[in-house]
Amino acid sequence: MQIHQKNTPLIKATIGSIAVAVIVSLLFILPAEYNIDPTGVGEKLGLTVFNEQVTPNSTKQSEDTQDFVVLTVPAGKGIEYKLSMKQYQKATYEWVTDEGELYVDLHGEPIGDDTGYFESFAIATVNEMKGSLSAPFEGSHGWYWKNTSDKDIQVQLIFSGDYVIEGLK
Amino acid sequence: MKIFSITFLVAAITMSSSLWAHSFGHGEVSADEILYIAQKSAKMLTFKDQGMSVGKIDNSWNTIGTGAFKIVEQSDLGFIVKATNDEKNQTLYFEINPNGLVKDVKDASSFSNNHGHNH
Repeated sequence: MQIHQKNTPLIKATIGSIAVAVIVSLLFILPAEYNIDPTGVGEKLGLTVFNEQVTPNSTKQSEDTQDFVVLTVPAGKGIEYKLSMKQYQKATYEWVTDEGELYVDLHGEPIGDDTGYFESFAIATVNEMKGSLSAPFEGSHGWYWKNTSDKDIQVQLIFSGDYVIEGLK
Repeated sequence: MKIFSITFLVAAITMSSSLWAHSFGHGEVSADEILYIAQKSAKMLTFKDQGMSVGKIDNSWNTIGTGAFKIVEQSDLGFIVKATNDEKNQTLYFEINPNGLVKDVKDASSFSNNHGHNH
């Protein structure tokens, strides 16, 4: 009998908590998480906007412009393709070879520096790479690819962001 | 007071499950990014066969503007982006998962045969 009396508050609390959870789920969680709004409260509180679907056949369009270039890295040689960027300007990029791997050094050279100094941000030997670059200083930023094979390799570079294209150097 | 404390604790644990669910959504990308990814995918397919159903596509896709890319379907499985190339009279469908990975690119006839309805 004593055991039953000890458990009574716990049972009441459990039932109470379940009731609270059900009410909160109906009013807030279901509308916000799953766009299920049986009471209409979720819509009035603006919770259903989190699940608004993109209308099929919508005319939503990308605003970013993409630049691209296809370059040939001659067998046994290297080329450099650069962008002029101010400090903290950002560019995103993705490049891929037609076949085979290239040594790549993504780097930047500070504007006005004539000492030959440059800072490398990524060095690898791969057949593709994607990422983004935030210029740590104003200057010329870009890729040096070296082809150590005995066959020319083409590389397609797609990029976008804030920069002025310097091109091949 | 004791009942209130226990009620609060159990309710808090029950409701916290909705917060755990958010951890699965961090890799999802926006509709704008999806269109950007589809456009980039088209450019990449002009360069080489990426293993997609459509294979390598014509170089004219490099000059197709952003206005030609539209999201026509969105679900928990991801997005379907439709792109039209008036110069080549070709329509492509890009199937992209919620994390922005291009799963497949099909031309219109192949897409219609497998998709079950038209866009």
